Amino acid sequence: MILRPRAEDIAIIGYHLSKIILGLGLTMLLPLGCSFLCGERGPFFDFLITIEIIFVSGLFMMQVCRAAYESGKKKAPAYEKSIASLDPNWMHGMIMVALSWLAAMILGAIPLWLSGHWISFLDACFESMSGFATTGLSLAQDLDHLSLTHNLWRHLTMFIGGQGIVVVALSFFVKGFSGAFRMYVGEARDERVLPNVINTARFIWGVSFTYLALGTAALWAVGMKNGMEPGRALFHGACIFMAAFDTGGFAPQSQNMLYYHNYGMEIITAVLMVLGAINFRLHYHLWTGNRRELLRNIEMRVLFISVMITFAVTAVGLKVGGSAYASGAPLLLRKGFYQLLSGHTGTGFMTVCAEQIGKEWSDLALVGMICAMALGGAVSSTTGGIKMLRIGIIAEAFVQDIKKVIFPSRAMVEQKFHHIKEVFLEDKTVRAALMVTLAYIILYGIGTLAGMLCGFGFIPSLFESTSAAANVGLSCGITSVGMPAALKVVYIFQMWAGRLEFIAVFTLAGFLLAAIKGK
Amino acid sequence: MRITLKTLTVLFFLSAALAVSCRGACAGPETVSSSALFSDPGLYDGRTISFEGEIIGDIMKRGRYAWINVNDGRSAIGVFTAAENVAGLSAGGYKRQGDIVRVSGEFHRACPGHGGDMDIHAGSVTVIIKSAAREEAICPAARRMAVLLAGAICLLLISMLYGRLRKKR
Amino acid sequence: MESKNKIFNSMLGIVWEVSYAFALMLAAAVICVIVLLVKI
Repeated sequence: MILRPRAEDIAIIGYHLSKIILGLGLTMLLPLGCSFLCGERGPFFDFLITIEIIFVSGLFMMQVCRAAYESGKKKAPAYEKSIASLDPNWMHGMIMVALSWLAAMILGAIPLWLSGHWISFLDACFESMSGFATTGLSLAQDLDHLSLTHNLWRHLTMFIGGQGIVVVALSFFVKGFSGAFRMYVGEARDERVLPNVINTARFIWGVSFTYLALGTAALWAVGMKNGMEPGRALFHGACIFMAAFDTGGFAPQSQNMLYYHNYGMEIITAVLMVLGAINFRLHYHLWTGNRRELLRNIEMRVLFISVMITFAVTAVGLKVGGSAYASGAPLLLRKGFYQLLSGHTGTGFMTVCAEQIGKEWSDLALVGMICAMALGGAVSSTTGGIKMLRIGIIAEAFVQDIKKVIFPSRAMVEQKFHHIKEVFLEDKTVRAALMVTLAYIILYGIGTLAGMLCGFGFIPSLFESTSAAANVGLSCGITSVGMPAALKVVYIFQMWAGRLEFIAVFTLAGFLLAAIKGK
Repeated sequence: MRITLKTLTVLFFLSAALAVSCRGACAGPETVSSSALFSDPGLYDGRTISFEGEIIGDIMKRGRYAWINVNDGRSAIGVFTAAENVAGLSAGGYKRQGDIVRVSGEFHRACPGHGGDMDIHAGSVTVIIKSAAREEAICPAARRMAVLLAGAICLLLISMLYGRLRKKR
Repeated sequence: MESKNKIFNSMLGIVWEVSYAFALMLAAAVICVIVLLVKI
């Protein structure tokens, strides 16, 4: 029997959702300040209006939910505490996360839409979800004339989404509550670096800001050496850093990384992309002195091997396809390997044009890229896709099963893998890994089917669908303003579900089902 | 003010049309659009072509050479040229419409000297239309909306405060 | 003293992480050369 959710459940979810929305509104003060500094009056009003809309809707929702909760409490005191001090349970947390990402998409799209560079609100929503989910597919029109303020917001959405919208929003409210962990899990950050969620969030902020300073400084220096003006080099450095470390893939100009025509920029972003694909828990252990972990960790080993294998496939594919990129090692590295690493870490920076990937790369090279994108980086990092830990666990499980057949039946087969500490391979771990992997494969399939229904070929559809669902952002030319609206919606769904790793999305679906069918 | 702006835009378009027709008269290398270049880069690889568009972003001088990116309205392409060719040019952004230029030179689908970038090694860069400031359009409705919403927030905050005070009593 | 040690450890950690990324690129360069040498 399915129980229909009570009014109190909805009130609790709505109350905390309104808090998250208000936190998101506060992050918009940064672009607002930028517009003020740069003297961009149009964008200033765009962001002012958006912040005001957020505050009106957030405060209104908070009041309504509190009133609904209080009146419900009078009739039947289901919950004794006041709404603010009440801890949301697992279901509340998951639904809150799923809804807050949708709310962030809609609210984050408002300033973009007001700028007039996106032809419809759906396009602006696509851009904003692409940013928050650190994907990097873009539908911007005339990006080269977009204001600095809007460009900063596009890149900031990646930084916010990479850390987790809920984590960012709740950082503004000093009083953390224990329900925060449930939301943290909902945002696919299930590994606690430190025993306390607040400390975990603090450590993640510490790592991010350290690298923000280092990476931006490096990119700034290279940008100036490139011949850019200091101010613009700094702006580009900060934006590119946010897109690289949070494995996003937006860039301030329409040509993406090709704009810079510089190998120094490509090396630095390649390093940043790899850093962004490292598990935050591993960052913690490396930073506290446990440096051997880097070599022993299952995720790092699997990442190394899978990057090499997928790159070998892509390189052979380029060579066999007679691509111009296979004419020398520097070309193969700067075009083939850069694109592959960008795909594997889920970033989506491109040093070639989208049309070129679709037309000039052979199918074998594209398959190599698709595999890399589908696999993704480490869990608890900002990458998307199936992720290395799960691939490692599944591989270990295969080895275990083969051993069971080969070894005498009396032998006890025990398989261990090293992830921070030695972990025994249990069936339930394997099951969880396989379930998520299966869900990802189905998600990739749904997008491919949608792409093919819209008249695109199989390989391009698979490429673009994997790119969206694994939050990569590489494009082979399908993503454009002219693509069917239905396909845009499918990609938005893929980015959302892929980023949240399904549980929150399924909980929301179950909640809606219960609301309709429950008793 | 309005009228002068309008005439200016008309003049712009007229001069652009004139420039285009002039180009037909003095037969130089074939002018190719970015969509043609992207859809069949092999066809133009190694050939001398002309490309027209707006300089966007930055003019990146590196020693004796410089990189610019030229956007023809659909997509942008990198142009590598001698530094003296770009002296005095200005690039477009939010506040400026960049110089609209015609570049002529050799097209590479994957330039071996530049890490495989798709680029044009331009021998000449000629300005067709000089850069101009872009007007920032703020519709008065936006201001009214901002003020209105600010009022709504104030009302909400007052009602919240009132509610809290009443509860305390 | 302890905070000094902490900062030192973090710096070393960063060096390790960056060198991992470079190792990845080096290995890729090796694959590049192999693919280009082997006539397919």
